[in-house]
Amino acid sequence: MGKPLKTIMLLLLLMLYGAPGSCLAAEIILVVNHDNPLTGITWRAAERIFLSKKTEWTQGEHIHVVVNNEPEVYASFCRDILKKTSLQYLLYRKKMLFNGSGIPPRVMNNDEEVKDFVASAKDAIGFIRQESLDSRVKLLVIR
Amino acid sequence: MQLKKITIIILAIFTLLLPMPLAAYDLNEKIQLHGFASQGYLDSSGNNFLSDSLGGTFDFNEIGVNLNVRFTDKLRFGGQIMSRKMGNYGDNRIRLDWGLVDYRFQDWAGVRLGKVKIPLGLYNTERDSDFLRPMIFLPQSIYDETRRDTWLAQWGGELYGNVALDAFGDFDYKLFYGRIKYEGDSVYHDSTLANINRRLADNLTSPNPDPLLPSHINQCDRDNDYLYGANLIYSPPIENLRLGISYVSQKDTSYADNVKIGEYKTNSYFVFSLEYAWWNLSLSAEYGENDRTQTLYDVTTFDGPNQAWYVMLTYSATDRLGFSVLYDEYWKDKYNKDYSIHASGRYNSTPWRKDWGFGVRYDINENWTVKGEWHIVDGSALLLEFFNPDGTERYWQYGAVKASFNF
Repeated sequence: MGKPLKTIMLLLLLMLYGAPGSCLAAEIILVVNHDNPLTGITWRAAERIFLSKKTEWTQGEHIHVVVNNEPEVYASFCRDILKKTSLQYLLYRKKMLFNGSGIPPRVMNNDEEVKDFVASAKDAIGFIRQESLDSRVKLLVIR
Repeated sequence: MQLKKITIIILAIFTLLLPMPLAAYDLNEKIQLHGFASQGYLDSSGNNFLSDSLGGTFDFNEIGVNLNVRFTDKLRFGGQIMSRKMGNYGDNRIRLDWGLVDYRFQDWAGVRLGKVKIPLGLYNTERDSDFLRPMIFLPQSIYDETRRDTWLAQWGGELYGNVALDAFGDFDYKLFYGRIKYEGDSVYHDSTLANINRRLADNLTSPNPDPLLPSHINQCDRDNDYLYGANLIYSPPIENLRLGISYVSQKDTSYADNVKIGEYKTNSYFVFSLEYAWWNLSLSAEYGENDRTQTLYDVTTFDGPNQAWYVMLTYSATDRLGFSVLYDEYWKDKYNKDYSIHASGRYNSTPWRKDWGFGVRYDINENWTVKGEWHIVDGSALLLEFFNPDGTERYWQYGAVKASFNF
């Protein structure tokens, strides 16, 4: 086991040396319907919701999750909230479909579509750019 | 002939794609239709791997379509049909990959009934979908491709759920019980038939042959008596770290020409798993032991655990381009690694398999993926005599390229 492990460690170090740094990104916030009594959730709860591990609000209603597929927003959400790359989260959602474990969240194209959906669905949650927040939806603070 | 088959496959793929937008059919979150198709090329030197691969083969594809219908927020029906071809096997016959009714009472408790994927290790449930994994071939020590037809899904059910532990993270669990239906036209079936006949031929030429044994059998069957197990994946409060343990036990009864000839029992098969992603680096490692007992014609032909482990590193150079390196090691018998004892001069002349794999993956967009990889192998364990009737070579290589589409 010794020689292969040494080689793997060497490759790991080489990869780390070549890792790119972080880049500028959009500031992302979570939004819910105004009828949702919650004002904030923990980062861990937010992660579990978007990974479809937590499917019900504390009051018992089913959570309707929507993923914002606008590239910059999506990438920032994956990196800042889920701590994943865009591809990792995409594959996570596809795994649910193709191995029979569930139906992944609905996907929408931009902030406007997300806000329209969340405004119309009492139990919905989505993510948008901070500057896109308007009166249609309510900010859900990550504590 | 081969080109004709490839043309048919390509036409089938494009026929599938033409009427569809480059996105899935999502009808109000209630009904979802998705699918995939992949076409690969497999080549090897030294030994035939999974097919007559020494000259290269395009007989390497998968096509699947799945439908999910959500009746209520808690109740779902889903199923996936697929066809595949690997060398002379599969032949693109359509079969049910998985099909189930899923009722989730709470986040921590749900039940799935039907044909359900077997959650062994980190990746067994997604073996049919090439685009979901970094490399074309999963590490063979744990995910033996020759057993893919048999260890993929079970008819029965599973209890599952996710339990939040607040500051300590959460864990996903699955408890399952069911039976495997063995296909009569699988690689596993045909290689088993060949192995039994080889033993019977050895009996005839032995100094004291057993007169009660037949000289040859024409067909064999294997019935699964039971299969049960558990899978636990713990996500601690460390970002992108997953730790898992899987356990499976099962028992089969073997028949030759409709007469019971033996049993195959997996006394305990466990796999420990680790997956960690740190920005553009992903590390996967698993260790497993399969303690099995096989009897044929009242003789115990094998009794004891194998040993399997691998480490795989994936580096995402960009969101679309990734490189993987894999070291994968398998021992047929954990407690007997002496080369001379296993050196029969014929099949499986080494009791180990040590595989260095190097792969590249490029995601053209959300729907298209192309991958390529090359493996350098020391050892012939897990190779089937069936594909290598003249014996195997200890040092050999194999490689593949594959294009996959999913919607």
